[in-house]
Formats: sequence, structure tokens, C-alpha cells
Amino acid sequence: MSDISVKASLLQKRFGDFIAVDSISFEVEKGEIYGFLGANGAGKTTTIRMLCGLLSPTSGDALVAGHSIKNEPEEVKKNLGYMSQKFSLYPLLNVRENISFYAGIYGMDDGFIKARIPEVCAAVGLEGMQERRVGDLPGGLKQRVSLACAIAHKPRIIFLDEPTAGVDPILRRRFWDIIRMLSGKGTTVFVTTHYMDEVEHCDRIALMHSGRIIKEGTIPEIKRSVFLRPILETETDEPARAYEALEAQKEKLGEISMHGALIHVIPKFDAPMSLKIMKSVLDGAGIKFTKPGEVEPTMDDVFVKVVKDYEKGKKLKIAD
Amino acid sequence: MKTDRGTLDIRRIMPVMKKEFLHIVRDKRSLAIALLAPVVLLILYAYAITFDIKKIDLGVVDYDNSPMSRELAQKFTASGYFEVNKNCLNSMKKCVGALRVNGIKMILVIPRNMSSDIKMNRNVKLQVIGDGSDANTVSIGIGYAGAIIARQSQKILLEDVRSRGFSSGSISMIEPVPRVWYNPELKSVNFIIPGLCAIIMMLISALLTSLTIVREKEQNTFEQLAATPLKPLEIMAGKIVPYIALCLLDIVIIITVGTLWFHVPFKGNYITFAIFTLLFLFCALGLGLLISSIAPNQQIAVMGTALGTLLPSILLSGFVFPIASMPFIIQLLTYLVPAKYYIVALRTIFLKAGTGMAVLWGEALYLLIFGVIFLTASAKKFKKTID
Repeated sequence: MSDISVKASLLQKRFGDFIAVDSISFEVEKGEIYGFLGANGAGKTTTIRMLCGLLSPTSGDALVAGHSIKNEPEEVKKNLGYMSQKFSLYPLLNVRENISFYAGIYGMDDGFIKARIPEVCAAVGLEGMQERRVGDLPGGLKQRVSLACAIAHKPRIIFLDEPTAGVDPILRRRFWDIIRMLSGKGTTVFVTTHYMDEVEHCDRIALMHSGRIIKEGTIPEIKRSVFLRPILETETDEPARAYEALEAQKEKLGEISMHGALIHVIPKFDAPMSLKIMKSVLDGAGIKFTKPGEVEPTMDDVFVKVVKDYEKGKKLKIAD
Repeated sequence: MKTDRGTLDIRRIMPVMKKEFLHIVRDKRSLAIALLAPVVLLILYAYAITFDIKKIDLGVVDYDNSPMSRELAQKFTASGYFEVNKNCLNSMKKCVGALRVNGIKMILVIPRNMSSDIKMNRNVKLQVIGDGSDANTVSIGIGYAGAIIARQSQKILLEDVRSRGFSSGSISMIEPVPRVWYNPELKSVNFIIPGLCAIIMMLISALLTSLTIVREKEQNTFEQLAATPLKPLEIMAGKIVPYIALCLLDIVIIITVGTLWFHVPFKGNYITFAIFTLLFLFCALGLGLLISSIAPNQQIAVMGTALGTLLPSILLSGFVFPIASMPFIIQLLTYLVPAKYYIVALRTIFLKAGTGMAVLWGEALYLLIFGVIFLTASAKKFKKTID
């Protein structure tokens, strides 16, 4: 039981008629990096805000660090660090004062805070900047200060809502290094993102779409469950025409998608057979293409497929 | 959601206070408002806006030009309330011209046969013309003129009686002996400074407090705070305390300047004064917090405080405009203005020795009720804002 940091059961949030989060259930283990992946408006932020005790669920409940978010939101808050999407720092205070303020309101004493500030500054790469006014810092550094504030009181769980939005790639990498380090020390990290490539850093992910978790698991698990067969890829100078030609044969081929100059086919039947059909279709249309081969599905492929399948399933249900 | 009423934790309040204090010191605009406002307002109100009317410019047209008429005109100057404008002496045309261009405020017209008419026991009518565009000055001036003329007329009467061989002692007359207590010279500074305490406290506490919370909303720090174990009441307490300190500093400035520079007496009890000041502070801070929990941004917060707290405190508190002469409906409205009670109490405390809570408990009770209402309402609204 103590190994479970977050346990959501049928968590739902409704705003009037709109269901932002639709009865989701999941578990996050201690020390795990758990990623919430989804487009804007999928319900990621609403979920995080419920888990942080900021919003009360309409129905269902979740245990965060062993406390119910419905009945003991104040106990929940004591155990977590939260970094919201927008900067939430005091521009007139310097780096040290901001960190010390946030640690202070979690009830940390002065001795602890004094010793902790150099530690967190080193962890997020803010050495030598303790006395800089936050208002004067560039965006990337502000993001680091926000993270430092969220972890200063050594929370058991940290919630990061789009921590890397608008951050350059080098800094994003650095952020993920910090997150992995925290998780290595036993901190549970719950993170939302809409960058597909970033989820590779997560131990487990949940794909959110219109308020629901439509897929959950480790990345290899998800890839395997979504794609029974490897994806077939070919590169061409005329991707649009190639796409049209293949799409016309999708009964025989499977799902076709276009990624720049690349065409992906998710085969319905076995790969050698599908490869043959692809070749003959493209040759028939007089399109030049590289030799099609088998490739690992990317998270983009996964996301597109999962959402498409989900929407198809929904339509079928409605048709019934 | 379960209530988070529990006990307030000073360990969590301290960082909020510290942060707020740093913000006050580093935000130059707020600091300027807080420290310069009392000084500027004191100078403005105490020097520029004085209700003591002295040296009203007067034109005199003396058609009689006798020793008696000259003596009468001289009495006007001697009173100190009037100053005769030498440029328009004895010319009705010039006087009227000067009245139009604001050279003079009033004209005294002495008729041709004044002294001879008096000798023949005929009544005399003097004309006093006033410039109604400055109604306040002129209505006071006409009062002064009436008193000067009545006194002169009495003197003439007594001389006449004596000249007929009676002793003046054989005539009875009723004479008023006015004596103004508590502020014998009717100095308006004595009356303005207590009111100024109320205005400045409203300005600092309501305006600055409302800005501090709205700023947190604009900076997105509000949501961040909401995700911490900080309780709404702890946020409020931590935010209020530095502003209470600032207000008290301002009060000390006003009292020091008022008593040492403007020689306003402070005859009452310091403890009563402190109690009222704190009670009023709670009202003002409560109002400030209430406005800031409603206002979405700083502009609206400023407008809200100006219209909702500052203006009523100036117009409807009896600070300058007497409540007794307001229309009935407006008089009822003044009961809702906390500054009214504070100003009444302060004037009493400043000017009347030996008055304390025994006399002023009614005002104290009103302030207490208002304070509790405002603070409870803002705490409720505040909590909702976070949720």
C-alpha cells in the first residue's frame, strides 16, 4: 500500500454540462515518473488540479500520499510540490527569497531552508544566481526557479504541469535529467506534456483524450498493444499522390498516414504481403519511392492510432 | 470539501509577512503612496483648504461721507474679517466691476443721509451685496457684516440715550456672550487632522491591501499558493500585518506633525485612541480585502477602492461636509460609512479631555460590527477565489 503514491478511482470533474475529466482510474507507484500525454483540452490540467487539492472532484476520489483529495485536501497539499503551467514567482524577490518563501509556507524551519537553498540551486543549475531578482531573469531560468520552489520542501510527490512548454531543447533535456534524478531518490513525479518525444523519459504514461484515459502502460507495452505488426515505411518525392493511391487500397493494406516525405502503413495482414501490395500500387501510379521497410512505431504513430481507434469505437457505439 | 478551519500556524504566516514586507519595501510606487500621502494630504488640507474665513475683500460706497459713516466702515476693517479694497472706494460702478472679475466678494453701500436720518430718529437701511458664486464665503461674510452693523447701531442708540440725559444704566439689553468650548478659536486644523487620520488610513489600508491580492492573481501566484498547505486566513493574516504596521507608522506621522507643527491639541486618552484606530483599521483592511477578492485586475481594484471607500470617507463621513445639513436619504447612507464613527471618536478624543470608552462605546460597537462583517465576507469570497 505504501508503494502507491497516487491512486485515482473513477475520478470525475464536471463544469456545468461539460465533463472535463470522465471517470478515470490509475495508480502511480512511489518513485515512478508517470506521464500524462494529451492534446490541450484533454483534461490533463484539470486532473492535476484535482490531485493537488485545488479542485474538488464531482465524483470519485483519489488517494494522494495516502490521503483522500475529497476529504483531506489539506493533508494532501502538505505532501506535494506543484509547478503550474504559468510562472508563479514573485518578480520583486530574488531567487533565494522565492525559494525560501515557498519552503517556509510548507512549514520548514529556517535552519532547514538555509541548508536546502544551495542544494536545490545546484540541483536545477542555479548556482551563483541566488541573489538575482526573479523579474530580471530570462524565461528558461524562471522555469528552473519554479522547479526549485516546487521541490525545496522535499515533497514525496511532485506534480509538474507542462514543465517544458516553451523551453528550448537543451533546457528540456536538462529538465528531464533533473526529473530522473528526483525519481532516482524516491520522489514520485507526475508530469503532463504534449511533446510526444518527451514521454520516452517516463516510466509509464497515460494517453488522455476528451477527458478519458484511452491507453495506459509502459511505452513498449503500449506500442505492442497498439501495433500487432511492425509499421511499414517508405519515402517518396510525391507523398500526397502516394497517400491518395495507397488510401484507395486501404481495404487490402490497412491504415495509411503521411509524415512529411514519409508514408506509414499500418498493415492489416502480414508484412511481406502488404509490402508487395504497396509496391504494386505505387509502381502502378508511376510514383518513385524508396524500398519500403519495417520501422518501430513512434509515439506520434501511437497517439494518432489510439485516438483514431477511440473515435471509431465511439462512432460505432453511437450508431448502435 | 472538508473545511480547513483548523488552527492558524504562525510558522506559515511568518514567510507570508516577510515576503509582503519585502514587496512593500521594493515596490517604489506603493512605498511612495504610503509615506508621501500623509505628508501631502496634511499640507493640502491644513494649509490650502481652510474653512476659517478672514479678510474678505470688500468694496465700500459711502454716499453719506460723514464721521458716523466713516466710523462704521472703519469697524469692518478693524474686525479682521474684511479688507477694504482701496481701488474701488466710493464708486458703485467700480465696485460692481470688481465684483464681476472677483476683485472683491462683497459691497457695503451706505445711503446718502445716514447720519442726518439717525439724528432725526428715522430708520436707516444699509445695503450689503454679496457674490453668490462663492456662496460659502459670502454667507459667512453676511453674518459677520450683520453683527458689526448691529453692534454699531447699539452703540449709536446708547449715545443717543445718554445725550438725552438718561444714564445708560437705566436701559436693559440682552447681550449674547458666546464661548466656544474645546476648540475656542474654531481653528479648522483641529477639526481637519482627526478626519485626515481616517482618510489616510483608508487610502493606505484599503488601496494597498486590495492591490496586493489582485497582484497575486495577475502573477498567477494565487493558484500556486492554493496548492500549498497555506490556509486562506493565514494568507490574509500574513498580508494584513505589514499593512497594519505601515498604517500605524502613518498615524504616528500625522499625529506628530499635527501636534508639533499645527499645534493641534491632543487632550484625550491614548489607549482609547489606539483602540479606535485598530478597530477602524480592521474595517478598512476588510474592505480592501473584499474589493481585491472581487476585482479581476489592478485597475478595477483601484477604481473600486476609490469609489467604494475613499469617496464615501471624504464626502459622507462629516470630514468636511456637515452630515446634519445633508438630505435625509443621504444622512441614512452615512450610517454605512465606517469613517464617520472613527472621525466622531477621534475629534472627541483629540479635543475633549477625559473622554474615553464610556462615552464612545457606541461608535466602537459600530466599527466592530462593520469590521467583522467585512472581514468575514472577504474571507468567504477569498476562499471561493482560490477554489
